[in-house]
Parts: sequence; C-alpha cells; structure tokens
Amino acid sequence: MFRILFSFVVFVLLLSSFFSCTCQQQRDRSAEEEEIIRSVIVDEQLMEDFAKSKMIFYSLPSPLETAMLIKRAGAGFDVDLLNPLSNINRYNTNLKMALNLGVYSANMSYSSLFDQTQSTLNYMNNSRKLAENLGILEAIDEETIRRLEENMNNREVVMDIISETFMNSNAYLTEQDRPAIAAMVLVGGWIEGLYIATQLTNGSLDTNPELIDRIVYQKLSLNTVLNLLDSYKENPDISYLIERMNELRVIYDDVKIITTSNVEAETHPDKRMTILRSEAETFISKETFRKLFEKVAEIRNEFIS
Amino acid sequence: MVISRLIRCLVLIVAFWSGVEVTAQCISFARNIARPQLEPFTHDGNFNATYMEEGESAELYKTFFEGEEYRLVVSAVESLPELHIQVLDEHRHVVFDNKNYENAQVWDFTAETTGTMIVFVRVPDRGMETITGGCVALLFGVKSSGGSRRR
Repeated sequence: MFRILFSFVVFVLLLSSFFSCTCQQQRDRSAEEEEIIRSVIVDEQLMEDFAKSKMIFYSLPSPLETAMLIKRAGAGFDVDLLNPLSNINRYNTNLKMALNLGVYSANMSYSSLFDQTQSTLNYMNNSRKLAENLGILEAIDEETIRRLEENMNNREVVMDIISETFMNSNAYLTEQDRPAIAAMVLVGGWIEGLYIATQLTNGSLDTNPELIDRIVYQKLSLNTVLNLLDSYKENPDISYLIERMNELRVIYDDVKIITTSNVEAETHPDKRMTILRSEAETFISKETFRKLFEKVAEIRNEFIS
Repeated sequence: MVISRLIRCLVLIVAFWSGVEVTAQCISFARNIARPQLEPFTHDGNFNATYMEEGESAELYKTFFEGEEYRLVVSAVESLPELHIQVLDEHRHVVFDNKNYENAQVWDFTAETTGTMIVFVRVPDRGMETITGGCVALLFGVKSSGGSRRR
C-alpha cells in the first residue's frame, strides 16, 4: 500500500514540476476553430483581441511620479504636510496599514525629491514596519535600509530604492493573492500625492498654475482609481473606498477637460521615441477648486486617523 | 480513508505551490530582467506583470502627463515570441505599433499634452503543437533629470 502511495506522490510532484517549469499546455484546437480564425479579417481580428483581453492593468501615478510632477511644477517642500511618523501606532487593520503604506511611500518620495535625507530614511523605516505588519517584510528588508543609508546623498540611487520597495510591496501582495490590499496601497499613495499638491496651492487657483494643471488632470487618474477599485468591489474595505472616491468624483464632474483634437503621434525611429500631442482645454471654477481642496483633505485625514 | 485524505491534501498543496511559483517567478523576472531595461529612466514603482500564453493579450491604462518623458518596457520570458505592442488613445486609435519598428520591445514617449493612453500587448500565436506560456512585464520609467515643462 505504501509503495502505491509513494508512487502516486512522486507522480504528482513530477507532474507539478513539469507544469511549473515548462509552462506548456497541449493545444486543443479543432479544424473548425482554425477555419473561423482564418476567416476573420485583420481589423475584426484586432477588435476581437481587444475584446478578449485577458488582463487589465490600471496604472496610477505612483508616489514617486507624483512627487516628480509636484517638483517640476515648481512647488516646494513643506514638512508639515507629511503624515506624522508617530501615527503609525494607530494603524492596526489591513485597510489602515495598506492605505498608510501608500501614504508613507508618498511622504518618502516627496522627501527624497527635495533631498530631505533624514525624513526619507524615517519614512522608509515606517514603511518597513507597515510592510512587516502586512506580512510582506521581504518587500523592504534590512538590506534595503542599509543601501538607503549608504546612498543618502545620491538622489538617483535613493529614487531607485524607493521605486523598488514600492514595486516589491505591490508584487508580494499580488503574489500572496491579496490584490485588494495592493489596490489600497496604491489608493493611499495617490490620495497623499493629491493632498500634498492641493495643500501646496493654499486653496487658491492663482498660486501655481502649473500645479493647478496637474491637479485638474488628476480627474483622469480618478477614473483609473475607480476602475481599479471596481475590480475588487466585493471587498467591504474596497466598497468604503469606492464611496469616498465617488464623493471626489462628484466634485471632479464639475472640472471640464475638453479634448479638441485626436492624439497625433510623431515618431522618430532613429531615437526610438514618439511624441504624443493633442489639443485640450480645461476649466475649473474657484468654488469647485475650494470644494476639491477641502474634500481631498477630509479623505486624507480620515485615512491617516 | 486516511490515505485518501492524505492524497487530497497532497494534490491541494502541489496545486497551491505551482501557482505561487509562477507568480514568484514573475516578480523575479520583472525585477531582474525587465526593470534594468528602463535605465536611464527611473522606474515609477508600479508592478504590472502576469503569466500569459500564446494568443492572449493584456491592456494597461496610464495617464501620460504633459511635458513628461516616459520609457515603456514590455518584456517576456525567452520562450515566448516577440510581443505585439500597440499604444492607443482613449478612442482606441492606434498611435504606435511596434510592427512598424522591428517589433521593438522598448520605446520612449514624450507627452506634449496630458491624456490617458492604453498599452495593448498580445503574445503572438505561433501555431505550434504546444502553446507556450510565461511571464510578461509592462513597466514604465519616468525621466528623472528632465527640465521644466513645455507649455
């Protein structure tokens, strides 16, 4: 009996090893199916491919990209806008830990772009604690902290380390089959970036037109946020986030982005690059901006409480 | 009875670990193979990678911001054929197709206006006896040393 059992176990392990190593599957395609595929003309084939897309990725502006956008808009650094480090003790649910891993990642990115070395290191340490509490300690390990300390004066390396830790957090949560938690981290980071940007305007449309422009176009990112969250809407924490984001959408509905031409592409094959351009007009009233300013602060303060 | 339970447990454990292994391989692939191709751009930190088979496709939605320069890297394991990549605008008009550029898997984009674009990736079906699958990663880098924005 034990010999039979042993043989079966070996067989199952070999089978599993075969599938995981070669990643190949036998094709089961009938002649009829082949005929159908051949008969589809190119454009229809393309549309069919779009319709059959297996996987959809919603890529939000990451905390690092948002920090870059804020800096390039000519805004400055304000330490008072960061979520206090001591708040970490408040976060003891998956929702709060995930949101604030995103928030602290945004604070870390913002600090690093403005060469605030000690602040960057402090927020990395807090991010590490939250990652550990979320069960993804390997995303930000001791080696990461050591590398950061050794390269604190090299902004390029610091940004590289920050982007790697953010990717790791997202990747390990996905690996653990916890994509809803990964989405919460992304939303926390996005809201914190929007909070910092709006606060830097002092609620006025006149302080920094470039920054206002960046904030207005976050209307597009909000659509991406809502699509991302909709993928996990059965999760109660995600439902809560959808409600909050919809409150933001009501305000953004009054922000007008009117595209007046199709996107034109100018490709330079020698440089392996393409320039994308179109024409668009935007409009936001003072009143709408004031509402947006207040709503973003309300949501963000709820996240960090 | 005991043996039957043992066998069921073993099957479940093997099935679980096979899935975990594929995902873990994707993280390692994205980090070690795809990410370095973004240089000298800075990776934005987003992780977009999944297991795909021949004939399958994926889409990525991303907002390109005015004045920013981006590098797109779409990378697949060696066993997969070169990927078909298209970039589409919000109305699904194709603005870039790598078939016109020797199936390039790395391309830079400069946005002169802000807009949401769709990156469409398809693993070509080679029509062979077996269908090959493996990790595919779609990563974006942002130019970190750029100057002020164009208006």
